[in-house]
Amino acid sequence: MKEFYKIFTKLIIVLLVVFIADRLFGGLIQKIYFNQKEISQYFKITYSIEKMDAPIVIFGSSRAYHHYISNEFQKEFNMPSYNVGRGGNFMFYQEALLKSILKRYTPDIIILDILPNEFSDKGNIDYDRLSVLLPYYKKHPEIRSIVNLKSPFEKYKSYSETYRFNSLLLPSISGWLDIHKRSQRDTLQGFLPLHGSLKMELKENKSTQPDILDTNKVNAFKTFITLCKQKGIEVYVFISPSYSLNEETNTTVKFASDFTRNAGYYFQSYLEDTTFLNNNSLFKDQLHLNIDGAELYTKKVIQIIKSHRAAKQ
Amino acid sequence: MLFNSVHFFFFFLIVTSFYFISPHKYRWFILLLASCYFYMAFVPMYILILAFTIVVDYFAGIFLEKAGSKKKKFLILSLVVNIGILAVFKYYNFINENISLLLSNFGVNNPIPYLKILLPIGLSFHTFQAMSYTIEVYRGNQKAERNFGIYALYVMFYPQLVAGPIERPQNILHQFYEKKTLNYEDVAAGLKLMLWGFFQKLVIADRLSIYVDAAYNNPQNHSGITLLLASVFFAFQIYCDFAGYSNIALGVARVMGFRLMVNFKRPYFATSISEFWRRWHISLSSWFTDYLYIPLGGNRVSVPRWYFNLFFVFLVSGLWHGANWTFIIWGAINGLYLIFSIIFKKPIARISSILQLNKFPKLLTVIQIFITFFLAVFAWTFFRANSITDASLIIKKIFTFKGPLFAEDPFLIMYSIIGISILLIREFFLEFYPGISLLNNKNVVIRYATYTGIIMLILMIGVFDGGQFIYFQF
Repeated sequence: MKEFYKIFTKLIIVLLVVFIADRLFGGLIQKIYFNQKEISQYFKITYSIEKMDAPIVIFGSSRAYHHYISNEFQKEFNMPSYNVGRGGNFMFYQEALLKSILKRYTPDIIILDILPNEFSDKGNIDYDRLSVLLPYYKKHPEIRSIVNLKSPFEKYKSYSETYRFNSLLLPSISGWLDIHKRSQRDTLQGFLPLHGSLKMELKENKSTQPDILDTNKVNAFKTFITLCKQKGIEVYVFISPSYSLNEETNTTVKFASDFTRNAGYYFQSYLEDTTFLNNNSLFKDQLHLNIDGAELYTKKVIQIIKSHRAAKQ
Repeated sequence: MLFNSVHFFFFFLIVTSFYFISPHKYRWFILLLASCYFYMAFVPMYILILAFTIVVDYFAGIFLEKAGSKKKKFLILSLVVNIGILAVFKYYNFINENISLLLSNFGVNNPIPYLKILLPIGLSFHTFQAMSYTIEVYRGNQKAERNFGIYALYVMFYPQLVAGPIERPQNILHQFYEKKTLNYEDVAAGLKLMLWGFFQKLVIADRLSIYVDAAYNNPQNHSGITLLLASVFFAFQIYCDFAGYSNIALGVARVMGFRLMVNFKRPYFATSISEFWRRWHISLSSWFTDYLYIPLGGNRVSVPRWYFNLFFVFLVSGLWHGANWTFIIWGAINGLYLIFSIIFKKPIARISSILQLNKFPKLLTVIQIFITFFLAVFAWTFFRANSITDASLIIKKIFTFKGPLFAEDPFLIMYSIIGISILLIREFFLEFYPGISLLNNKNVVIRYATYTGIIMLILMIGVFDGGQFIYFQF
């Protein structure tokens, strides 16, 4: 019993010291994280969740980030626009962002860009990527249920102040000291242009695996659309162009198209648009348009929204 | 169940508590039950394969002891069953694939069907551990275990069940009979080992794997410099992944009072390849030495036969790691390294004396460490590459040393370098100044600050979405 008390006491001391260190280090990283300069990639998430109040908001992954020129929307519709797109973050991220935004204000128009396989079951990878939202876990209860999809223990792990900022120390210091990659400096209201063009020939992108949908991703999309509907927001769902021959009839595209249209919203896929498929000079890589492609594509999207709105009036 | 999972944390707490609360006579049963649960958390059905080999080897051990001059038959039976299971699950499809390839050259279709089977986790480890039991009983170094439960626990003891260390019956079996009491020294030593193991796995191995995977899974699109960095990173990744697992295993066992074999002794501070193999995966190296190299004659044979023995043992070691030509080539390279180090021992010594390096022993040691490290890195390239074609491309590109460094996420490289630096600093002191230790420092403030520092580093820069331990697949 004496040994047990000795072990127990020492363990408690270690845990206490770790607890204090966790509060101190976590608090310090938190301070640095939330005080990053405007140009940093993590500032964009904080800005999107906590401050951004543009009436036109563009959601999506890197394809949204590089394809939708926010300024053009602003000019055409005469109201501020912001692109909250973020590379490597998909439907769960969009749902979390929307929930945080709706807590503060209601945008007029939302453009959502999805991938042709947005809802496909890709294992853990899309769940792991939810860690990008961990810094907001404590302050934003509305996103907790989404982050909890990462693992059943996420709510317990998040008690640690440091864990929530895992791997963010160096990027936060860099963002705080304003040391950034040159490309990030080109960011315009959330949009980042890509330069350079693709040199390869068009290839077929046929998957041999059956496209099995991930129920959580499907639910995230449904929630996204339903929340917008409840708030009376105009929603446009797009699948922007890729430089590959995709199947328009895949499960994600079909589901997204049916659900969006049934909700009374506009859906359009550009996967088979020959303007893009016949012109590799509009692409930076197979999945991303370059600035020329983005300009052309943004014009097309603006035209669609304009005519759609005109038809409604 | 992965060591780096929350499930394991609770499992460890519950099992250890029950172990110490229970009366001594039931403890082996608790450990056996826990080990079954631990193994079944991967693929439950595969416990039947394990149970089958346990039954065969248990009776083989008893019959071996009783059989007198006919004992060889029982040893052969046990080895055939163990190697047979390994062959079916691990090598059948590989052999069949090569037969198909060979036959296709003559325009013949291979009629032998492929098996749709998954490799039972840690099969090579527990098979080798089971084989060491029957061989030791055969040799008369170990009495046959009469308690079936204790024998089953010898094969299944959960800390080392899926990735070793590959134990010997003389070291571990008697420990299951000993009455272990909750002991502060053991608990502290065990928890420290576990802490360092988690640091190696989460902060170093899993971080490095992100860069390594990006480069090695797409070598066509990466430059020689990127592939060189990825290869160096892989050397540390595989070390920290496996040594991390071993440290956690040793730590878990130590908390309960069990002492397992040390599996790694700072391998990247080795000054020659033969020394590297005395420091790397010691339980496997010594297994091959005891049960294959020495029975083949070791070095007490003609020189050509000695070279053959060395080469053959490493070829088998490569095959043990996986059913792929990349592993076999990795084994062959290591075998050749050893042969060449014997052949060129005298010329190298002569060059050292011409260059007067012997007058600067520290410099000589540094040079030897670097050469050994880069020889290991070269061999690891085959171990990690997805195919021989990829490995050849990677080596070719590395030697051209051209192109930009892939640094899409510069912080990834920075975190990797931080992790490797901490590892090397610790190992440097352990190697050259063993008296200086932060984790075992006599000053309580330094000791506690070190524990806290490691935990904070794990929380700050550990990768929590990392995959499985690499060696599980073997």
